[in-house]
Amino acid sequence: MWLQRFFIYTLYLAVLLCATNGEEVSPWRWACEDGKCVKTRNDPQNKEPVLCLEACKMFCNENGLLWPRPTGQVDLGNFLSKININHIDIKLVREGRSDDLMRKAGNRFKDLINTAIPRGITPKATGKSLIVHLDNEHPDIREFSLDMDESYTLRVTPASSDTLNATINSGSFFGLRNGLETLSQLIVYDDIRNHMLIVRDVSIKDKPVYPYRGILLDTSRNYFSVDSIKATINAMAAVKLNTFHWHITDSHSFPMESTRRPHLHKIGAYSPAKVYTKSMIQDIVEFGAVRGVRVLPEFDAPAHVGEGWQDTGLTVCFKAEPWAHFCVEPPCGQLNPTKEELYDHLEDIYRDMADVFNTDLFHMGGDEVSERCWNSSEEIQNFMIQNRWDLDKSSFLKLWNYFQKKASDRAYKAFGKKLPIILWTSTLTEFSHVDNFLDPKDYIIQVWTTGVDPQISGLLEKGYRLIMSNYDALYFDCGYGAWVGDGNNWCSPYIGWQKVYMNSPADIAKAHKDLILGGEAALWSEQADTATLDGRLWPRAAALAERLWAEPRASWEHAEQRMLHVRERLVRMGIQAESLEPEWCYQNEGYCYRG
Amino acid sequence: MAVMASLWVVLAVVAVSLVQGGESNGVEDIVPHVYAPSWMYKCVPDEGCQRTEHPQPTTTNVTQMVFTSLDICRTVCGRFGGLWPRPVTAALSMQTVKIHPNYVRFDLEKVPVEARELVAEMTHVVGANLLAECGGEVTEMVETPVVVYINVKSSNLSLTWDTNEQYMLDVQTKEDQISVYAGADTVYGARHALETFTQLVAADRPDFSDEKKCGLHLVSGAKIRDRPVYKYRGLLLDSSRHFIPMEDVKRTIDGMAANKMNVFHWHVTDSHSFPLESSRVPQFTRYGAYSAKEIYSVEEVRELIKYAQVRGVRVVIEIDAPAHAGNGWQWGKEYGFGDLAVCVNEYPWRNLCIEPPCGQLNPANPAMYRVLKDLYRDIAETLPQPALLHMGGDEVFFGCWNSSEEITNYMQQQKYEISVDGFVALWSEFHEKALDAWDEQMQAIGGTKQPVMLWSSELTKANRIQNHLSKDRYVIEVWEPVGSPLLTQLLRMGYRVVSVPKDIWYLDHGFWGNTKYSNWRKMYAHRLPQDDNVLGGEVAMWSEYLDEQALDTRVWPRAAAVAERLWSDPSGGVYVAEPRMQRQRARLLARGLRPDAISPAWCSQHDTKCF
Repeated sequence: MWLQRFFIYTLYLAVLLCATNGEEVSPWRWACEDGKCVKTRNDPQNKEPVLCLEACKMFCNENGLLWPRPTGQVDLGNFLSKININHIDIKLVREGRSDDLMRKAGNRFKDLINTAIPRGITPKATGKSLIVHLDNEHPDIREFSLDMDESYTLRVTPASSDTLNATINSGSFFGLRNGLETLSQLIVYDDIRNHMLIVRDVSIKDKPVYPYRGILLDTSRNYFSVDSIKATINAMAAVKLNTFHWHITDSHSFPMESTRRPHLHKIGAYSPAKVYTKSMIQDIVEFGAVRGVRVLPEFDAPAHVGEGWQDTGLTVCFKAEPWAHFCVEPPCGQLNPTKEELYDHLEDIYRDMADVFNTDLFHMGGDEVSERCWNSSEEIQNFMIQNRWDLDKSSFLKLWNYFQKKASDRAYKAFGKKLPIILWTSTLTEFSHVDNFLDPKDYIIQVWTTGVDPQISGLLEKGYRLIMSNYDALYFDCGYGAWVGDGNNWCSPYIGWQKVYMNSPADIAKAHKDLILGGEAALWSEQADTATLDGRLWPRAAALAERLWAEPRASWEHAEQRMLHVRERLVRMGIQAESLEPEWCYQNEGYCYRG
Repeated sequence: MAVMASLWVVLAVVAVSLVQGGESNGVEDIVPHVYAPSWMYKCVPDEGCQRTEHPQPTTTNVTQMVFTSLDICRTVCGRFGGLWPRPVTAALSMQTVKIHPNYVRFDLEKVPVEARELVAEMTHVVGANLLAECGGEVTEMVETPVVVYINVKSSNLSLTWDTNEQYMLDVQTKEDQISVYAGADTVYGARHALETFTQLVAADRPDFSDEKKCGLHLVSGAKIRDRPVYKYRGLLLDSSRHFIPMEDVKRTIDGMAANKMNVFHWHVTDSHSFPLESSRVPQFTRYGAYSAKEIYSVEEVRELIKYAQVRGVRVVIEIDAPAHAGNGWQWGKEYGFGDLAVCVNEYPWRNLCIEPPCGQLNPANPAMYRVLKDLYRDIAETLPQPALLHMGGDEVFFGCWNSSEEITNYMQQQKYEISVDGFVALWSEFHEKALDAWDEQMQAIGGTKQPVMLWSSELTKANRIQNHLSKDRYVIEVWEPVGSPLLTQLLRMGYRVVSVPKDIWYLDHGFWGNTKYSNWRKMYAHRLPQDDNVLGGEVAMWSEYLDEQALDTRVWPRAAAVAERLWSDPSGGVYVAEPRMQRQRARLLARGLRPDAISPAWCSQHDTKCF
């Protein structure tokens, strides 16, 4: 505690630059007392140095304004320096195959700093210059993988009376980029003096707890514009999330351009304008690469297909009614696994994906297969009888497995490598029999049941690697009115950010924590489209980001003030994030708690 | 008659002035065209609009029942087409005729001279809304003249709950001339007619297409007679818990106008912040605004009121008191006035208020009433006459008053017990004095005594209200849940009420505590008692968990559901309304709002298939 008092004292000395200057003066100032920023009247006559809100928050908390909180040592010193953001020089210490990415990441860093300035304001162009040294030990690495090195160290030190040095050391472009992200969070706009400030003496060591930190977006139930997808990826990068899981197709629409089977998108998209062309996808993938975000394609099968396949004769029970009999939501549709030409179709789709996604992982969906749907087809029944299978549950699992084996072989062929495949939890992945079908070396299971589902420990004990998307904490579509039927939707209530934050994969996995690759928030889009995307995802996805990056032991209350700030930062980046509390609570720390 | 003819005025509103750079431009397509054909939509009896099995080239002969866009299909399919809220009666042709905003003229000959300027502004909104259907540019040129003959009887421009909002609208197509007759008693009725007219127009561009080609189609024949069931169809917006920028407030008014809602209930202040500028008491914003940028200036408020009037919306300002007042009132001591409010920002807050920050006006301090009078004077001068003030009056915490010695001493002087009854008496005294202050200010500007609004509270309980609040002066806004008997009790005693059952019509529910989200269907299904003293209802957008970022998606299209309930109180269920609701959502989107999605787009393209 003495350290904190020391902070307060030195802060007053440090921020001499905070001397007020007669012109339009903010009526408020803040002072750090007992770890809280206290709002007080700012007497214009007072010549004492004073702190603006963000400057106060930067030092009043051991993690300052950083989000997600670093996992290693954090020292932010006691001083803020005025900087001239027009004088920022970014230098690559070592060059290699990832130069273009590093340069673009440098430009993004400059853009980010500019978003800290409120609209219509030009801060004073005085202050120190900043030289950013990017020291990447392996500048040739530019490919995503589950074991890529995302760690970094960051140091800021004064170099001379008019220059500051910032040095980022990392083992790959990905760590380097994360370091730049952190550095951008150390620069604030001071509305009392109309100036940009940077924390002057910084030493941070940081790396993530989990390698897979994702957001799923479903672009089939409703279409999302390319710009809105890029905005999402941009925001993900700001909180160090690293995987954009693209649930691109479903039974409702097929918006992905397939050059090999163009009928799929031609009759599968909602309209000609609602197609993601290959060049658009490439653009998104490239946009993600610069931001350390892998764009992971999912082709959900054998269920969740429909629109686009009408003329192929390869589906069963498409648009069948009453739908509740054959699928979980209208319109129904399932692939017919007995058709040999189906697999040629699939390989073509996979090849179309391989052309543009450049991915290290592939998601094959595999959820919610309906026995009744398959059973409604005489052709499938005959096939099963020919194979001397019954028509019971276990036989349909055999049929499903038959499909999965053939489809995955085609996927390996299309992608030119045996890349890890992700599947949703389903009846196929029940731990009692999953190892009869799926090899834990080849398959990663994405869990979408609740966090207390015994399936989780069952799968872990059999050695499966898991990605956690337990719906009770990570389905961001929950809590709204039902779109089929009355009442609220199936996974109501709405999940507040606190629950997202407290959903710890390590606690769920217990002894098998090492088998958890990470987690992912899912936005299923039955009731969301471009107009509402931002608010559904943000700032809740930021809560997930800190959970997955840091696995903090402390509860959400300790993160609350930083969380309110990261929300403001997202808004400044152009994200229409939900608000979590009255603005009053952001300005008056420590008052808004439950009594 | 010859003299009359010389007064013949035709105001032609040439909407093209709203288009920026109407000429064809050389900008290349950003979206590469993947393929040419597009979906068509069939109007199927009992099933509504259905997407065709296969995309068809747009050049194929279009039969009567197949349309190139979902919007056009909706505009003609079904008894009420794409109209929202549903009119009382409508006969619509299934034919459409191509029009262009450049050739739409408005004839104001039969509008009283005093009202012409206002009506002309209303027609400008029509022009902008027509263009919005085509994303700002109508490329398909047709020269068919459309003349909208507007007939208004009354020259009275005031907007109150006694304003007659009834209207008629006829569309007739004869050879190469389209005549539209929009008739009403008042300018506000005429505005509703114009809104309905706009809703008879849809774009032929395939839905969501980025194609530049876009033409407008008007239903070629229509006969509509319409009037609202309830007089008060409101939307409350709280701009204290979060500041909501003026442009976002205006966009909300646009949405209200599209739904024929007529009261913008502006909960502008609360204990959290005081963003409303007062020229007589500048301390309110200086001490109460979140920052110098988060203030509504006097000028901006006047502009908003005018903006709302053109859209048929009355602005009601609420200054919540004596509770829900804190920041903005904390400067009394500094100025030698003593405490104007007590327990401001105090904690622990649990015993002093319902949510932090606490704050309650100090009824023991006469200076407080003087400041309140100044504020009321500013408001009386700003609001359109006859002014309607909402005086708040909810959630008074006796614990807060009890924590102030000044107040308990005052109570002893007044011979009030320090008990619930004593605090109720003090509270009642506050309202009496506040109402006197308001009456005085209204008189000072040449007005008359007007009814004021007050939230339901401990004070408005059935066994108490008659001792404290006159039914001639107070309209009670009842926010108790549907199960509460208060609404009926108040009606039985002869009070006028506005109903906003919190468990159904509060838009912030579902995101905090044990509250449940109401979807549009649930909001739509709720009905109010049919009683002359039920002035109407409203949806309430409290802003603890919301600022301008999420405003649109939280409010729309759910507020539209309540708007139809209050305008037409239809007996048909939600499913009958859903296709029109989909159309209204698309319309709001076209007009620049960001309404929430209510279903997968697939369901919108296949009416009734997702039930």
